[in-house]
Amino acid sequence: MLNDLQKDLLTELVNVYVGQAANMLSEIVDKRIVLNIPEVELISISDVDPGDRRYNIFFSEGHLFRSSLQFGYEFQGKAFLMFPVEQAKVLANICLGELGETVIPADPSLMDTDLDVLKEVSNVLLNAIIGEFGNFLEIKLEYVLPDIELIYVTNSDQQILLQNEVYVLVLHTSFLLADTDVTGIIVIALSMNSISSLLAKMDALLEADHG
Amino acid sequence: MGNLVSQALNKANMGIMIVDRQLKVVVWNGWLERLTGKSREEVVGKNLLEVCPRFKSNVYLNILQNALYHGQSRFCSSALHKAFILPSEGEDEHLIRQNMHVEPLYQEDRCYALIQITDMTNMNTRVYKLKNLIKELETEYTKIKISEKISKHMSLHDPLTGLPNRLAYNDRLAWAISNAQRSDSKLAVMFVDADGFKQVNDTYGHDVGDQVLLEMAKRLSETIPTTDTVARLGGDEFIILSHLKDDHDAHIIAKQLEAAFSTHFKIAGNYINLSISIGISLFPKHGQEPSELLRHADRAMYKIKKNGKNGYGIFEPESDE
Repeated sequence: MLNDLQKDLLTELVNVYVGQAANMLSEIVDKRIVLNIPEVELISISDVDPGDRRYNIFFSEGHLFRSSLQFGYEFQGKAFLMFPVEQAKVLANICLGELGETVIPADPSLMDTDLDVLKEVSNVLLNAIIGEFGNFLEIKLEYVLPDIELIYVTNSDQQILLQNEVYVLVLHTSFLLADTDVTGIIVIALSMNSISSLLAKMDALLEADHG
Repeated sequence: MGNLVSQALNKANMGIMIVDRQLKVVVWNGWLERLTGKSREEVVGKNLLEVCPRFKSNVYLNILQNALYHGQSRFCSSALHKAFILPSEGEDEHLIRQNMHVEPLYQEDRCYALIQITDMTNMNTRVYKLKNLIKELETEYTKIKISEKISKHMSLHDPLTGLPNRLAYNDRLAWAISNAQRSDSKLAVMFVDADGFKQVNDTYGHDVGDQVLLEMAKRLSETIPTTDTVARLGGDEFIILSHLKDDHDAHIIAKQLEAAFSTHFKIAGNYINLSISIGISLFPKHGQEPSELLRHADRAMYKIKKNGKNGYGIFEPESDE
């Protein structure tokens, strides 16, 4: 749904936003954190090919850490940050300075303190992205704290994750910290009006640049 | 109503503070008064940075600015930040853990930041204690696994020679019989007893006797094929389980064992000659049960001993009756 130019522009914008979030996180946990969004897509969930590895998180069974943040009103939608639980545990461990500890994949038990850490990480990250989208669109946004949950996804109910949301912006996210690569996904479900205003704004910017 | 709200704020089990855009404290509740020892009258109207020095850090200033100017809400985890509001003097601040929520508030055209502080000290302590307990249990579990392995080895092996003991041999024999029954193959049970071992002990002492037994175990193990088993039953009695292609193979193995003992042992400067007597029973020819095969091999060995030792004999059912 995005053409190449729009995709490039959005990828660049988002990387600037998450870069700021990464700096903030680095300062908090006192470790260098690099955050990359290598690819941004605007898709309809029903069009996603289950065989596409990039969307494993939607289609594979397992425990999932999910943080969601609702925002509105003019630019309206809901943003999700999702990690498989094992990846979420690695991220929490690293932030807590427990890098040496191995995570047993079968039992990535997340304690309350881990969940608080993940809540803060997703809060910083989602705030940065949504906030900057607001700035980009010159719209004042209001949003609350993210809700976090641990859910179990079965093969049949991945779609429920994002039900009622037609088009979504998918940001493939990778955290690079201290020799580890934690990969997750950020999904921003937008209302049709919000998508239209985002595309219109991007086109205006591209028009100005490329004539 | 205002009085009710103010009572509720003071009774709330968390720190509640409101600051304006100039970071001037507008609300300071009872929980904060109890923690810091600073009364509402002392604090309200003062700058937050003066009252709570931790907020001077850029990270927290940014959080407050983002709430006050960009409407952003922020959550700060006690696991990463430890504490935001320090207790009154005399309490150990390093033990304090607090979560913080910062949210924007709006009244008319003015914006405020609501700061909520939750005490997480006990929960954090419990989590860390639990984590430590899990680590300790993991270490204990590893130790138990190692000692289980050791005790299992000890219960199935002879402490002097390290060979399987009677228990392990019986188990292997039963397994080999059921396997041989399925695959229609043959086995030999060989009872091996040293001739005149008591004399070795009497002449040279038990230390040398033990060395002789070790050497015996070594020679027996090295002589039989690697797929076969040699076990020590006790004293100078050993037993071998051999897999055969043909019953005749038992003669070949027995002769090789005899040959292995044709040279003397040199132990602690002593040259010791030791021959062996071997009794053999065959599966399936001489029995189907482990105990039956062992009994028959023992009988055959006893016959060799009776007829002058130093040799081997295969069980003969008729003559044995």
